[in-house]
Amino acid sequence: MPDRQTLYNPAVSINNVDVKFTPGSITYDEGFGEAKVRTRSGGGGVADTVYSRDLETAFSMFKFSVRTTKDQVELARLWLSLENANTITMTDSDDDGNELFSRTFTYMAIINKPVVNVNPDGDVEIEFHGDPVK
Amino acid sequence: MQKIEFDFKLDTPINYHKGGSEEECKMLLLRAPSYKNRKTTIKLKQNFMRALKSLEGSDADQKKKTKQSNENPFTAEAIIAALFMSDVDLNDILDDFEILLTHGCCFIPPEVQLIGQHYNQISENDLTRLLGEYIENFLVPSWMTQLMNK
Repeated sequence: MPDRQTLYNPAVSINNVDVKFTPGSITYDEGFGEAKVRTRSGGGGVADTVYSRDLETAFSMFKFSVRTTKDQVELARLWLSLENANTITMTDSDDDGNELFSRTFTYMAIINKPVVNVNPDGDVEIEFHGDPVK
Repeated sequence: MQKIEFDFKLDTPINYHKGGSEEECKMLLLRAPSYKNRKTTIKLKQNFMRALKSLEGSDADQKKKTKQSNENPFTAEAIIAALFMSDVDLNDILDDFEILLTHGCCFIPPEVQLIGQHYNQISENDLTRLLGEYIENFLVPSWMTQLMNK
């Protein structure tokens, strides 16, 4: 199949439980970390570059929102209580169920304070950080 | 008495979440369907019976042999062979089977309910064997085996 569709409707599971999230709310970073390229001079007008990675920033991030249903709020509470013992898998499949894309994030912990907005349009934003994706 | 659960060894392991990491699962625990699974089990049973019906006559000799030897005619291998040879759409059967497995009938031991993401990782060979064994253990009614041996 030609690559003509964006990842727009992935399935997400956390700790072996399917999660229902607010459409379009997922953003993630695989945790490669920030890279730095600096020049150095060899004299006589010669310059080349050296590369380094800032491992301080080499952690993955997975952020999404859920509707404020009773079950979702309870799930968020459970993920918080597990500290960094959460695993997240995101997959995208075609209509025939063939997996097109998959990422697994391990040792994930919620780092924000999930604020529950108790109103008809309420969402809870949840942000996990953890190991870089292998 | 019918079994209420059995273990199934996967030839190709699948991954699942455990304590923050991802681990390999090489064994599944299958449980007998309950009344709440009836819509799916009835469809599976009907499709299985249709498959047998569509093969009627073509396996008369085999039936005769089985009858004489008093063997169980509904082994997992025989069930899968019957389904593949019949006019019944195996994709429909596998769709129903997925619903059954992800609704309280299949676990990663001891108690992790199989979900869609696990199911999609099961290899085709494992899935076919699993379907045969599940039908053999839980969906072929015991009266049917007795009837075949009469």
